[in-house]
Amino acid sequence: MSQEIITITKRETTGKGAARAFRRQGLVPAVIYGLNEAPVAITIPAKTVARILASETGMNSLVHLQREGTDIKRHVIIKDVQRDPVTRRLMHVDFMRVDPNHKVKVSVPIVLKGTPAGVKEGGILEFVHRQIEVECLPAFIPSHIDVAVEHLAVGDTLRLDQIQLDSHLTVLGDIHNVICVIQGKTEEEVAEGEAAEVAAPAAKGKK
Amino acid sequence: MLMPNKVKYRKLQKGRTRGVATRGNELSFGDYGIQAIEHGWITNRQIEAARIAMTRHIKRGGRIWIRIFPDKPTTSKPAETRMGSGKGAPDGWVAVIRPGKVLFEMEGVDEKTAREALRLAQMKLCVASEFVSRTPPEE
Repeated sequence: MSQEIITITKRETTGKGAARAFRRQGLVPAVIYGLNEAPVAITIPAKTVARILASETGMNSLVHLQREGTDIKRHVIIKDVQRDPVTRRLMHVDFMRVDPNHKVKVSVPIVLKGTPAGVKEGGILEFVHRQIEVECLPAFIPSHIDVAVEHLAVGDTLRLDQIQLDSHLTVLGDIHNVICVIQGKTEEEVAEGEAAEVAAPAAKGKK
Repeated sequence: MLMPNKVKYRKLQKGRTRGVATRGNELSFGDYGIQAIEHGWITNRQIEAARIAMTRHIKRGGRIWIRIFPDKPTTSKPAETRMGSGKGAPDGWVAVIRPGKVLFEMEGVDEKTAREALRLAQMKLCVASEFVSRTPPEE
């Protein structure tokens, strides 16, 4: 659990004009909601949000916010981030209040560890589900879940129920979901690859 | 080449392409991709040429996703024809591209190979695009 306290400012103005003015000043418009309390419009420095997102815990960071000029402090998690489709700059951030004693639902990224045996034999690793939905206390939100895939051969499938999860985590959704699969090459792909190999030396020969 | 099986109308008006891609602007399947940074039309021939260029470069490894589909018919008049006398005959198919649209995605190859394969694909397109990967952008 991060103990760093981030100071935020309450935002009195709303709308695209005001939001653009804040962005020009290096601030990101944001909102805090949750726990059956009224939502509060705020601004937060863009660099601070970027630092949180770039940290090891990333989107699942537990953040301690304090409103500027007051003693109001809240634990929040980042619920959503909006970015500009072209520049990828931050446009807006949603923070959700969390109670340290109540479980929250979060999406945790899966990180595959190692090179599967099937890939070394020429197969292709297909990463089907990159994130899983789990329920846990805010203090136990993992930054990611490591999954060893070295043992997977061509045609093997790794399902969610086959991986060992921390006892604090409860998986939501279908536990039979496929995380990754090692696919062999289809005859068409092999033929295409061979054609490419034949075409490449022929083109060089013409020069 | 990619084209619709059936369309409601054989000929469409040109239309205007405004704004940015609000959908299909993030990597959804692969680890690497190319993202358009300007407006334009990409023809089904260009998509096919880009696909072949990428497939040839990555040879037997990796997997490619085409995130655009040419669903808009274009028309053209025969050469040396006087103007008027109605709209030309259907000639091809294009995908309407807005800035931010992810055009192709790739997985199962190392970054160097993916960059080169996608660079070759970029050469086949008439819309400026840039390489994107899953690593988070810096502010």
